[in-house]
Amino acid sequence: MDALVPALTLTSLGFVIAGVMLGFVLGAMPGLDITTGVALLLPLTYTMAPDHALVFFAAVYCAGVFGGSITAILFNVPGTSESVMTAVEGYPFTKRGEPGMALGAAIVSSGLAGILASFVLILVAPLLASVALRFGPSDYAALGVLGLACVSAAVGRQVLKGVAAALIGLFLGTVGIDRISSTPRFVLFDGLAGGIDFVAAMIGLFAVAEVLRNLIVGEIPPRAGALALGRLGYPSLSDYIGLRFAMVRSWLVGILLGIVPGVGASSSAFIAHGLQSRFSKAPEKFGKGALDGVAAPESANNAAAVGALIPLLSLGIPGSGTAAVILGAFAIHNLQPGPLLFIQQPELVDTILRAVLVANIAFLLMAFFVVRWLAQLARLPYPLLGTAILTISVTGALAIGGLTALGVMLAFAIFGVVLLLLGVPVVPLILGLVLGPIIEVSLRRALLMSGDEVWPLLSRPLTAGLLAASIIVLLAPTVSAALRNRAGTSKG
Amino acid sequence: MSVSARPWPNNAAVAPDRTLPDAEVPTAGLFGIILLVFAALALPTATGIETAGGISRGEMVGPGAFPQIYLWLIGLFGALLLISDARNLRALRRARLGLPLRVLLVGVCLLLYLVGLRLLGFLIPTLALQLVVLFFGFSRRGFVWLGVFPVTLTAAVILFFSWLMAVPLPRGTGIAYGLNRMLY
Repeated sequence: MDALVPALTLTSLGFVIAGVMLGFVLGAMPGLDITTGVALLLPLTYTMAPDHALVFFAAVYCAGVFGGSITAILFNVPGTSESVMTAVEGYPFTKRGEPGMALGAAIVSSGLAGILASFVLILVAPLLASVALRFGPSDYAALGVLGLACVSAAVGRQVLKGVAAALIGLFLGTVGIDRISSTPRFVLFDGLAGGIDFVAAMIGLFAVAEVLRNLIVGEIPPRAGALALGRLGYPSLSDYIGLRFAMVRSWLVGILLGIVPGVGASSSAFIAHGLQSRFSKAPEKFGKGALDGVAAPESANNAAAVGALIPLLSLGIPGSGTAAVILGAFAIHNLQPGPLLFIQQPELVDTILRAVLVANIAFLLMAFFVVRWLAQLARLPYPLLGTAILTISVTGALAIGGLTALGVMLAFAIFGVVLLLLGVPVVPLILGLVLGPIIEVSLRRALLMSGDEVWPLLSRPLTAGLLAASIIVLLAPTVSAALRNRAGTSKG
Repeated sequence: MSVSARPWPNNAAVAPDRTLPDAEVPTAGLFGIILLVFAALALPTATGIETAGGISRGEMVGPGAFPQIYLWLIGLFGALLLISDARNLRALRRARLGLPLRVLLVGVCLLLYLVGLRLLGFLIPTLALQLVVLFFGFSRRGFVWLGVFPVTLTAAVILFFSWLMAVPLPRGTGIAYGLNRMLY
């Protein structure tokens, strides 16, 4: 790499801009997540030059991860699985008539996280990738436990209801053919053999459940007021500065988990959100619209998305589903990512790395213009908006997995309505659904490898460290409350 | 168990919390009952899956272990929720069936939509779903709301998902298949 300053050709720059725009659209569309979107776009690149194709995909990928957050904040429709926590924290801002606050925090934290992660990708990719490969099954299980420990953050005061919701999520995560013994578990029909589709469940629980609840209860939400063009009410500079620790902390979580193959941006967003609620100066705002609650998952998921490219480029191992599809783009052009690519095609690697950086800069600049226009949709009458959300969600589910995915989505939507009416938090359920399979499969795999011995697993430094962190996360609020009480008593 | 059917005031700055009021409805108790029923229905199947020796006789944790643990815990938490809310359960006697019936009705509509998609394809059931939602759910009337909007929205969705992104939308069976095939 000659310099860190990007120097792409004008044509490549055009592909970056087109990719960023397309990424926004794909990310914002429920059901068309970035993995599906990139897979659908693969045939388009057959006739492109390899560098143009890969630059285009890098841009679609980087912007797509953020695209889901726009609809998550404005309409409670998480376009991608990475933006679930953004919906939880960002949508309350729209309901309060100040979506600009959440959108601004999301854009800046995502953009900066992506840019910083691009520098890491450029500078130390091979080194980090080799470290990530030391992650063993017991470490994955411990990481899942850490994520689950963060459930307590999403539970709030509803401890019994929240833990019960997490347990339902964990149980539903076991549905499908067991990945270790191939035993079918609760496979009511063939379509469930692969397990419950997380994205379909997520669209049902969030986007569709919200519309159905309004229909059932017979309430029509008001139009989002005061959304004049250019007056979205973005956070002030001091607000952004106040988010610096949340962004840096979550960026670290994102980049570290992104590099580890299989963890993914969604899990890192959940974990970053949970950890931030522990460090936040206003933890009581979490779940009701906290600005650092928006910044944390946004920073983590974008850092993780770029982080997933590190093992792909340096070792040829895709760190996420989308990275695996991008591997397909390499294959189409007879390229094999890995150490040899750095030696045989240094110019191409150079172009890709610069494209990731430029894509993140371009998305940071373009996002402010795009959301300004998209936010106007929030001013449409709710019957129109609600019907459109329902129709697009239905079609999105069909895109994910046909009628099976649609059935799953609708079932979760009805279940979501019941949970919402009963005041049960849905985030723990989603966390359980995502992390349950990671914990179960990794733990059983680790036990098989250790001959059913537990001690060798616990004596691994990374496993022990992650489990210790889980205990700290669980106990921190109780301990800090006790210390505060003690300090208050001694003062009194 | 009734919730007033009224639109939010247009000048409402903050959307109200729309969960059922705890004072009137034992939400924890109801959730507890749902959990107990869920656990009771799933446990017989779960106990049929081996808890050890899934891949080899010596394996400590089999494919049935985790589901069983989760289900017992779901049952336990269901019981705890029920007990914690026991004194409010009397309120259920006064509860009206309007809301649960509406949830059931919406569920039936969605099930019919799913069946409709399989038989008639994407176009007609989706248009019908939109009309039901707009006419009965949101009480909209007029040609623009019930004519122009659903047709435009359905056309836009087909254009984007099917024509541009090549997503295979259901085409139904028989005559419906042939007709839908001409469009997408």
